Amino acid sequence: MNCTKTLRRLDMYMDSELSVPENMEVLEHLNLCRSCQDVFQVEEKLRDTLKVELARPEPPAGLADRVRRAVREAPPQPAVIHRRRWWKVAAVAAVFLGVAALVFLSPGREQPQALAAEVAARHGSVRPEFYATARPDAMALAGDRQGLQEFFHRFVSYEVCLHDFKPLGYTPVGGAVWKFRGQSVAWTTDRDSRGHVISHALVTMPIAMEKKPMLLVESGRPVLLVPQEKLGRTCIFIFDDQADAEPFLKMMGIR
Amino acid sequence: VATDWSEGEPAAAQEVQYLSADDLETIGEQVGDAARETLLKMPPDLRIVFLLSSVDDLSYKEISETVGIPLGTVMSRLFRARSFLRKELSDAAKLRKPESGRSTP
Repeated sequence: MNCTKTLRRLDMYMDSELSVPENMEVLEHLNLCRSCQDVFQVEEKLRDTLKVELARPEPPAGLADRVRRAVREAPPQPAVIHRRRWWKVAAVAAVFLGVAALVFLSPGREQPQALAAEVAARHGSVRPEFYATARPDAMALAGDRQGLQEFFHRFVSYEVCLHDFKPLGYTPVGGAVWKFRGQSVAWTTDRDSRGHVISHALVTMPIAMEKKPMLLVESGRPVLLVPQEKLGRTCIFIFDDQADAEPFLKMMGIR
Repeated sequence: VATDWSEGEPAAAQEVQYLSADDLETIGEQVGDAARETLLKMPPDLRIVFLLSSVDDLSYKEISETVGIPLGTVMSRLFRARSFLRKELSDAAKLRKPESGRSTP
């Protein structure tokens, strides 16, 4: 066993994935070779540190609150755009947003209207079975948002929208991963006792809008975009109808 | 055992660039932040495999079952994820060492 061979197998050795004889070979070489031992020690230290640093037992307790506060601190009036009143908005936009348009509507940024149209069309296609397929034991978590977040973070590794609809009488029921603008995005669904549904997700993509909440209506479905403080993330919410969106906007301090 | 190498070369055929002791020392306590930044940049397909292995200590077989991909794909994704991380950490270390090497312009 030489250095090259040992170093090729070092990861698998550390992962305990080598056969017994292969394992012995690596071990023997490490005992004899100082330079490979050095590599091993750095790697071991790195692994130990990362295990601690990257562990995500659960989202911090105050995170949802902080997100809500951040949203509340945003300017009180969201840019509200209804399709039917598009001409009005266009007129206002022409006057006030002339310069802003050049900045925000630059190519390469996702247009909010197009985004809203696509998510509105997919609203309701999230399914409870997703949890069952991806991770059978996660089915036990339906109804437990904290648990679902943890599930997504630990086992699926997608970013998940942290907003909680419990105060409005909604319970998490399911989710799906949509291939969306080249990204895999985890969408979760909350449902209330009448069977009304809110689907929502956290996406990381540049969107051509200002850093304040924006409500659009596409195919009769209100779509709310709430930019988060950091990293160009946006929470997207889709409601069944305007009446469902209102209490949420109120809870978020947007209305 | 049937393995699927379609997503890349088998790990054993590629040379591994490990992080040097010097680089690890330079990053020091910021290694966690640097790694988290790297994870955000890492394609989700690689990220999940990496986290399941490095944080959750799942075996290749367990990862294969959890994610629903062949064993060989687990190995090649893990290899790519680690290479990606090592490269990023090594770059981060170099950025943090502005004094060394070129004290004069």
